[in-house]
Order: sequence, then C-alpha cells, then structure tokens
Amino acid sequence: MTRGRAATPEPFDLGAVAGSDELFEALSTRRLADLNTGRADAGDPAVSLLAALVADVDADAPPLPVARPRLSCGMPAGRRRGVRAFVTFGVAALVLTSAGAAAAGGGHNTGAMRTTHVPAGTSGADRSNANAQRHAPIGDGPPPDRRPVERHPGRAHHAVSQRNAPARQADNLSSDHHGHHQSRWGAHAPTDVSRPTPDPVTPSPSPTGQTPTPAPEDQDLAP
Amino acid sequence: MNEADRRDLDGHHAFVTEGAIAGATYRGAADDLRLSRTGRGDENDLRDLTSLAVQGDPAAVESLIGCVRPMIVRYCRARLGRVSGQYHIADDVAQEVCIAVLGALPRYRDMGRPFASFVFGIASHKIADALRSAIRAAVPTEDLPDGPDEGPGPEETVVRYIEAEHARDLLDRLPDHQRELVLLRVVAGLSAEETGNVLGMSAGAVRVAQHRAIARLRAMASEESIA
Repeated sequence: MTRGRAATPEPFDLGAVAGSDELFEALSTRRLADLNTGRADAGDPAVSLLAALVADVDADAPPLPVARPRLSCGMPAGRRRGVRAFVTFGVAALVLTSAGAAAAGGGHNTGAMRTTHVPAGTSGADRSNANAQRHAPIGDGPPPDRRPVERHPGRAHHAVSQRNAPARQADNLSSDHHGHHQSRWGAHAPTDVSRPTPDPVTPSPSPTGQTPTPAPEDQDLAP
Repeated sequence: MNEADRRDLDGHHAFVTEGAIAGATYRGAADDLRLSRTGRGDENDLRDLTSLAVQGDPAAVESLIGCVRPMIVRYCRARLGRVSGQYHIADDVAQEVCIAVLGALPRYRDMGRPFASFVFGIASHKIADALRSAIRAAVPTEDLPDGPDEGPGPEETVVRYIEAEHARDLLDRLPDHQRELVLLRVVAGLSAEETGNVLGMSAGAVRVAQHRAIARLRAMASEESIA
C-alpha cells in the first residue's frame, strides 16, 4: 500500500546513477572526446545521438562561458544551512530554558505540569509511600494535588488501565509476576519487580504519630 | 564602483546590442565580477550581477545577458530544430527571449528562485508561441564565401543533421519533465544542481531522473535499431 504515492518504478544501482551523471557531465561540459575513449558505453546509441545533438546545436552558436557561473537560488546553500542550524539551536535553547524555568519556578517540589517530583529511580510503591509520608502531616491545609505521577507513557497507561479496569489487574499482575510486561512495541522487556503492585500500601508511621492518608491510587488499588 | 565610473557607463552603454553581448569589454562593477568569475564559478557573483542588472547597471545587464544567451540559443535550437536546414527561426526566438528578459529585468525580484528559472520560463513561453504560429518564413541564404570552407563536408553535415533530428524525435517521446531535464542538462550545459534549481528538484533527484531518462533513450534507440 503506497498511501496515494506512486510506487518506485524499479530499483536502481547507485553506481549506474553515478555513471550516468558522469556521462551527462561530459556532455554538459562538451568533453565529447571523453565519450568515445575509454568508456564501456562508447557504442551507446543514445549517447552518440545526444552527442550529435550537442554538436549540431553548438554549430555557429556563441560559445558557452568557460568558467560559467552557477545559476543558483537567491540564498546560497551554506547560508541556508547556517540559518537552519541557528534556528534549530535557538529553538532547542528556548525549550530547554523554558522547561528549566518552569521546573524551577513551580516551587514546593511541584514541576511544570503540577506533578510532584520524585527521583527517577524510585519505584511506584516507593513513590506512593513517599507521597503518603509527605502529605500526611499537612492535615489542616488544602487538599494536595493528587494527580498521579505519569512520567512514562507506558507507566501512565498502566496506571489508567489499572484505575479504569480493575478486572485486568490479574493479567497485568501475572505478567508482572513473570518479571516482564508487554511494551509498546510488542516486545517483552524486562521490568522492575518493584513496580507498582496492587497490594495495599502499609503506611509507615509518621514522625508526628498521625496515620497517613493513603494516596488515591493506593485507595484504588486496595481490595 | 565610484560615481565617475557609473557616469561613464551610463553615458557609454545606452542600450545593449548584439555585438555588445557577443564580445564587448565590460568595465566597472560588472567587469570586476566577470574577472572574479574566471577562476571559480561563484554563485554569489551571479546574484550580485543580477542585482546590479535589476538596478539598471548597463554593464551588468550586458554581462548577464552574455552569460545566459549561449544557453538560450542552444535551448531554442534543441527545442525548435532546423527549418529548411537552418537555425534561423530558433535563433530569432532566442533573440526574442533575450529581449524579453531585458524587458522584464526591471520587474525581476529575487524571491529565492534562481535567475535561470526566470530565463528558461520566458524561453519556454516564447518557444510555445513559435510552435503555435509555425512560422515558415523565407530562408535566408548566406553570401558566397570568399575563402575555402573549413567546416565539415556535405556528407558529415547530413549525417549530423539526421542524427540530431533522430535525437529530437527520441526526446519528444520522453515525458515532459525528463525532456526538459535532458535539454537543460545536456544542451544548455547546466549542472545537476543548477538544473535542480530550475526545475524545483534536488540535485540527487536530477541525477536519478537523468539516469532513468538515458535508460529510456537507450531502450528506444535499441528498439528502433532492431526494427
């Protein structure tokens, strides 16, 4: 299926393309003697016809300039390349700068997407525990943002599917128990055995002695 | 170029003539550009030359037309061919193209497309007009030569004519874009990059397309030789 595009007529050999280009270059620069000496296609009828056409057209015509200038686009390619590189680096720098500023300006360990920053290497269960410990002492304040941490598309999908379809937990669990899970590309990638588990999180005692409130995802996962 | 040189140029080159295009000596900024182009084919020089010509510098106009005219003549000859054994109609059309380029030059704006695209666009329109009108004017005859003719003999000339006509017939059977590509690349003498700029293709696409065109020409020539 070509999705509306024309299919490639036939494959071609790059060496043959280069040979044709050399041939055209010889015709273009009027090196007609080179066409007949030392070439494999010296007896090529198409080449001899083109050479005859060139010789016929050149008869009594004003000579082509020896060092003919290049008739190129208005902006030279080197300058275009420089502009492209400048724009690319500028956009990359802008994105990086704005992302860093948003992350730094969020404060209270809240990132640009109002998500709680957790070290990347922390597993899901540890994250839940950390959330519970962090938010539990603030009992009289406004309810904290309980949006789940979705740092990885696969993990986000995992969390949503767990929340919306508890019946599928068994399948996910079975795959997790084998130490593998189905990746987005259909391959079985090794996974961390300490990934979020449906087991209820046992809150650790807080320093203030209060019982921490479990996170929403923990509530959903509780039987 | 200082003011004295500009006044000199303005006073000296009132308009462009055929002889001026063929072999005049150019002075001023256009002369500098021409000298700088002898060592290397610098594309920036042609852009500067075009810019000066658009601004009305007569020397730049002469130099620019001198650069493009040989290619226009060959292109028109390849497209129109001989009439009664002569190229006079093709040369007339080439001259009309040069005049049209001169007339349109003040309106030319560098929009990123190559100047050659502008020139060959005018040439293709003029050729279409000539093909539509199909003028068959009286054939001019040359004066009797005063000395011996150093050119090729009658047999060689006839063979060359026949082969050239055969090449035109084969080119006419190619798809339009391949025919234009071969004419620009081979007859007008443009490089792959220049041809790509004129046709709106990359140089790599030009190389692939010319490879397919020559393969098709080979196939057609072989079929005819077998038949």
